[in-house]
Amino acid sequence: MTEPATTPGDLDALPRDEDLLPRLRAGDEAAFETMVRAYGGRMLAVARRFLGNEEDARDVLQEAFLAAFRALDRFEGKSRLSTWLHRIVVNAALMRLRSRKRKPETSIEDLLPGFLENGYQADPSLPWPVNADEAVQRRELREVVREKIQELPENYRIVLLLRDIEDLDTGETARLLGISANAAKIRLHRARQALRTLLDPHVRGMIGP
Amino acid sequence: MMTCREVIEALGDYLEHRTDSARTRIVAAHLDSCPECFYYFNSYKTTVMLARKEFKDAPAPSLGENTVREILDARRRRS
Repeated sequence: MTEPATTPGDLDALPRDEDLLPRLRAGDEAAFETMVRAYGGRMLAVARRFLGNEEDARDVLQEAFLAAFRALDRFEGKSRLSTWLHRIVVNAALMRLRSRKRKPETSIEDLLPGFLENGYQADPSLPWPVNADEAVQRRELREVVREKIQELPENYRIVLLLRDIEDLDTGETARLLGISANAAKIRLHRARQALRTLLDPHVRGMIGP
Repeated sequence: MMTCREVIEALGDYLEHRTDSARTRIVAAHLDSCPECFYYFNSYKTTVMLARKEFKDAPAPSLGENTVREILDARRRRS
């Protein structure tokens, strides 16, 4: 049976976990379809962010839904179904990234601020003509942000995605990446600094509000 | 007293309110008195907000009927 498609992002139209979960656990095929239709679009967006390749993103999405279906018995319902699915997609995307032939990691050093021996900034920062609230309203800037995130060295891009975009905490990020919490924290700070450096000429080239 | 280097290193924790109160006061005082670090902090904060906003506000893509069908078929084959 085909159920009506859910408009992606329409939170009011999402099925209630307490209705859907018992049906999913009972192997109800229509419930599985409901879950795919309700959450598939948002989960595809997650896979795309990590993989940057449509074919891989759709493959990973399929793997993630199948993995979720197999793991339903172990889902205790302590988090929302959407949160649980999100973690499965993130995990599947990270596994896919690990399986790809690794490109030599580019250095992030050139994108970090330099300092003089006395601790002052070597290249003193200049003000951005827009503040944070104004900047997020600028469509052209938001497109540059996407592009520049893709330019970050992969180890840093992944931490930025996990922490700042996917909202995982430091401990979970560290566990997924097999690094210490402190290393995850340092890597996130470096990633943000590098992204700031990449955005700097674009933002400073903008005319203020 | 912290140098610009130390303050900039602490900005990640400072932004997320993870510095202890003594360190928070020192960083805040430095940002009040050092325009370059103040500019850096503002641009760092804007960078984080821009990244978050860009992805969180984006509408979810449509999955497409073909992809839905492929997932459902794959599940049937494997169950």
